[in-house]
Amino acid sequence: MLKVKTIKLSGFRGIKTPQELFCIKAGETKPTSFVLFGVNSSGKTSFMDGLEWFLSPENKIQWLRREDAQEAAYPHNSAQPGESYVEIEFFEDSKTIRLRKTFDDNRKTKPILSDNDEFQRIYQSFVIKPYFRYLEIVEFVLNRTGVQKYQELARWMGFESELNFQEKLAKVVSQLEKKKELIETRRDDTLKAIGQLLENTVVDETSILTYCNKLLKGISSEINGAILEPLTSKESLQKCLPNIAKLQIQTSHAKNLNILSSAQTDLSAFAINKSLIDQITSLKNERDKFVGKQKSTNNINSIDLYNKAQEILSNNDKEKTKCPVCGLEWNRRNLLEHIKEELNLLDQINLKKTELIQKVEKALHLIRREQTLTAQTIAKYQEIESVISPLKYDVIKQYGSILTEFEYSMAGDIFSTGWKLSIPDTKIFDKLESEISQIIKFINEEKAKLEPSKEVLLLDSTIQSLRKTNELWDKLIQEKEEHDFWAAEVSKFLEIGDTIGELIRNGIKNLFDEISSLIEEYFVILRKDKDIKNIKIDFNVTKKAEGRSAEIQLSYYDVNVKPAYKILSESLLNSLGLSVYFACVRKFNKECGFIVLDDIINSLDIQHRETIINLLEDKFSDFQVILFTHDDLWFERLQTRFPHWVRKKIKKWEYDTGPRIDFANTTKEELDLMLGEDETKAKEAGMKFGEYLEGVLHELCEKLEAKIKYRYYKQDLPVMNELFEAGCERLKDILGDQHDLVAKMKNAWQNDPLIRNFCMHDRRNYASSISLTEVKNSYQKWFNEVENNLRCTECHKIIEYVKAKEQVHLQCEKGHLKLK
Amino acid sequence: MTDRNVKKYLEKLKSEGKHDGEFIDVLLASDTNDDDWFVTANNLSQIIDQRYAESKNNKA
Repeated sequence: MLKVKTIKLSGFRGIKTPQELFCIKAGETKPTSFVLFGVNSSGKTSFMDGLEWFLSPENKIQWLRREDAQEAAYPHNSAQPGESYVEIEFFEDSKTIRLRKTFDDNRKTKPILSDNDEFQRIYQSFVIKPYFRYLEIVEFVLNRTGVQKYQELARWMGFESELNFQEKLAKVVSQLEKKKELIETRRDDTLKAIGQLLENTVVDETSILTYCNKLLKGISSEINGAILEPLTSKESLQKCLPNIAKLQIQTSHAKNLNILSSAQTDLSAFAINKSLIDQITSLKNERDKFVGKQKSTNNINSIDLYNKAQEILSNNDKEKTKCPVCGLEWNRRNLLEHIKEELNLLDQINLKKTELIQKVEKALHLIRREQTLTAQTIAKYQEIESVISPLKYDVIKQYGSILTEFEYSMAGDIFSTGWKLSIPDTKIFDKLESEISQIIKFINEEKAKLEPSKEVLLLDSTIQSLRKTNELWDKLIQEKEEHDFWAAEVSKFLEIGDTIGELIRNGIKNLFDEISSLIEEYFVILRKDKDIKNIKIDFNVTKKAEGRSAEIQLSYYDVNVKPAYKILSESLLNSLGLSVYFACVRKFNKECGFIVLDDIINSLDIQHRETIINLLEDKFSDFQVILFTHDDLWFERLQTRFPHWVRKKIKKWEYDTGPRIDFANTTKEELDLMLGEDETKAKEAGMKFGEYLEGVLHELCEKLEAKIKYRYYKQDLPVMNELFEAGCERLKDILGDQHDLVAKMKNAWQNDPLIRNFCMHDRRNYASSISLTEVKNSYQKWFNEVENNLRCTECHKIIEYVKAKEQVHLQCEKGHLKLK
Repeated sequence: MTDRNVKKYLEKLKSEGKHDGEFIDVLLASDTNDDDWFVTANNLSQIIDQRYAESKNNKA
């Protein structure tokens, strides 16, 4: 199992210069348990913080997070970059592994690991974290809900992955349920809307069809004598709608309205070509200009002749020659030039003529388009006149005549001399627009005057209601289908969720059952004074977090209690918390052989603190315990009970450096050191021995169940006479007056000068003139003659009163030492 | 250490063949990839929506 040899901190929390704790004794190779004593604020928590940071895969110190201190608070204030680190030397299978975690100022949450793989191996060696603080016990037993306890247990017992999956599954199920509910809400809204339409709370096929048939019955006798068949299904409603729409169109009112509305739409879209007259005018001007060059145009027909002449002349090489066209004699070269010029001129004229013809064709196309438009508009006016009083539309008729004249002219020979075309005033277009606007306005006025008949209104509203019903019914069918489908699918998934949830719960319940007996076993060691049994961790029955909430239950003086905090005192609950932690360490940390405990005795009453020592001794002797404490009495007990541990104390703490650590000694070892050669230590040694003796007598009287005289007056001097008196009397009662130990104890009480002083005088005042030899003699006599006979050399415990089978005797708790 | 227990349970369920295999596959993938719950929920929703669309097409 993994153990710790050395712990070294530098520039971390309250420690500036490197400090090293050696959990190994001089000359030995294997590490041993270790205890560090220091008063509050002496720096021992810095070591605990360092260990937690080092052992935390997340590189966090939990209690500092609660104090709202983040990673920036980890290094010592004056530590330079790279100076803040924790280094631990591990020991496993006779091998030593040294690992260092260094704080990175640039990435405060990501420290530098000396060997990433080895660090991962260390993290994987434990399930429950191998460090525990007093505060965590309090939190676990007192301040946690069932859900939080379950989460903590998951971390302690290593079923975090199951817990994460349980939480994920719960959220997934909730999300799917929400989606299903959303579809359900949509369906219900549609149902509600149909219900409002039907004025009926029952919405089904029968009620919808009844409603529709009632509507149809209202109109069937009114419309053109048409008889509508009663609806029998959704399909019949679907088929019926277009037929009713036809009826709507057939009513005279609707017909008229349709004519006017249609006419209005068409007239609004009417767009005349306002540039037509300008285009015609321009064409006419071009034509007039072209025709003005009469001579040229007439000669166009001579082009072929000139071409032929050019061909003949090209084959004739005589200097003087006659023109084949006009018969005049020309110089051949000049004649050729002349013909070329004539041909060029005629080509240009021909080109222009072609261009004019094309323009005429284009103009004709425009004119005919305008004619069609005009004819359609006039037809529309005539249709309107069938509904409302006669209209006045002279301008469009006039425009029609103009177009006819244009067409006639353009269709003729525009190059002939008799060709004529009169151009109208372009103001005709403004007049046209004004006329159309007036007619549209008139239509609007007439439409407003049209009063619909009752039958039309009824038909309109019926159609509207039927369409709406049909639309909502379609929607409802679709939403119902979707909902039913989703409900079935979600139900299938829930079955899986329930089954997997049950498998996970069963697995965890087995863990709970396995650990529960161990918790009880440890609890009995910590609190054998109470009748508490049947300790069990079990799931809470809760709707909110079913299967994800746990509580501890137990039987307290035969009364079943769940949760345990309902009835147990804080001290008992803390003992329970400790038992759970220790049980988890024993059960799950198979490879990690050390536990770091920080001031955990705070959680127990003074009289029960030794029971933790018993637990460590009885159940964790194979573990290495690294313990930090500020309690000097407990420290003293630990030193006495575990003399083989490495024992250290923090002598003082300085801001610049941190704690100053020294070896710690038992009182006897300290007295031995004090009583060397230095006479000045006599008074101090006497005081120390007095305090120690008082503590041992207290413990002895408690263990013997001795009756101590009650101190009534405040002014009674704090002496230890009553303790000796009670202790001696009790020993005499049990062992008899003649027992050697009784005699020796009595002798020490009554005859040793220093002890007699302790018993007669205020111990705050004594030993003012005591010598070194006197102290030495007294304490050696006490240890050699009395205490060595009271304390077991194996378990280091003082004898206690035992009554069994009507017999009374004295023995140490383990029974190694028995006095008769 | 109980790290792979969830996977073990899911595989057991799948091998029994009593439950929807496609849903179990989504959970297995979610466990393996350590998907967030909303990713898993979304994957399941998509499967259901797709199945619904297919069922409508089949009817049509």
